[in-house]
Amino acid sequence: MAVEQTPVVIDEDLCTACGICVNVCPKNVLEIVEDLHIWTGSMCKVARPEDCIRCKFCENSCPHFAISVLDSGIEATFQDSKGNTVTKSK
Amino acid sequence: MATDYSKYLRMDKLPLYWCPGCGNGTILKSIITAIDELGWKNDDIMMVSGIGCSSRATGYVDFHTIHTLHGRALPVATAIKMCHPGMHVVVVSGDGDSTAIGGNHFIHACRRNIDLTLVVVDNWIYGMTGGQYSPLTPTGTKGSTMPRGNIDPNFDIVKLAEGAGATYIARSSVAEPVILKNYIKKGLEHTGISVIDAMSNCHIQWGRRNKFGDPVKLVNHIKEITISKTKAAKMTEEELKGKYITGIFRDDKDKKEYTQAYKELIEKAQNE
Repeated sequence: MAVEQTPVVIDEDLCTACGICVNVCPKNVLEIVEDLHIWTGSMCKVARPEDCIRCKFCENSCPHFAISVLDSGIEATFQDSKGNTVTKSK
Repeated sequence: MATDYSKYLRMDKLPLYWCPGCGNGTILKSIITAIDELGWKNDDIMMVSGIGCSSRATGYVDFHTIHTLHGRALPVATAIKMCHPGMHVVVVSGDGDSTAIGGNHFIHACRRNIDLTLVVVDNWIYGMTGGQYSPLTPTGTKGSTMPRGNIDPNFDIVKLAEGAGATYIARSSVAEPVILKNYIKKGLEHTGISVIDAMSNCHIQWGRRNKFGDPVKLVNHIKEITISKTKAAKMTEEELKGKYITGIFRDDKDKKEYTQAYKELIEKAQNE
């Protein structure tokens, strides 16, 4: 049974857009996007969820407990960066 | 296995008070993940901290916690361990807290070999009070009380703990959080004092004055200056100048633990 969520989930209430996750990601999944409605002026977004290999570097490096990554093997259904619905387990 | 952090955190206290990108959060996360992997219950753990940025960690975790005086985290932890020998006592302390103001307590806790886990958050500066230099600030770097560069030679916390007689000593940094978590896990399992030197980034107080104002830049710098023990063995002394060696430096299981020795003493006195 596939869960309906992206492999990487960012809690926008906790994220401070420090950029450490973007720096450590080996597959360039995350991106800092300017958003002037937030006090930090920018926010970390999942830009290319289909590229995620679930290595959890971002989750382990995030100092503010904002990122959670699904375990490898769990099927997830989500919209990729081109707008197609895909199901991936890794 | 994914860790459910909400089980260990007081979620109503979040978001964290620390600056964006501060390494304290990564170290707190490493401690929580290590405890989760060991499967310990929240009620069996006591977390003690002194004063400082890193010591705010006790406010966020859902264990038994106590936030004590500046530098006096280790005496309080020692007292708790003596009263409750079955409890796992974790001490989170900053570099100024544990080596300057509580330096005396640090060496005597190492000497006694009491079963505590001391995580020293080594960010090279007094962050909370405004960037004064600490005994771990690298020589030549700037801070608010040393605008023309620090002239003091700095401590090596690993050698200090080795000399004082600690039985488990390790060092890692926030640039390698999984290795840090493994070292903390081993330290928690160890019977006797375990000192973990967790190198952290203070890009606000230390970094802004030394051209490392960005968290990513400073974490990358820490990654560059830390070298693993096996790699360092092949390098010359000149190459190792200004670098920090990471790894487990001592894992001694033979030395008697303090609460155990005290228990034996009580039994001996009662049988007389």
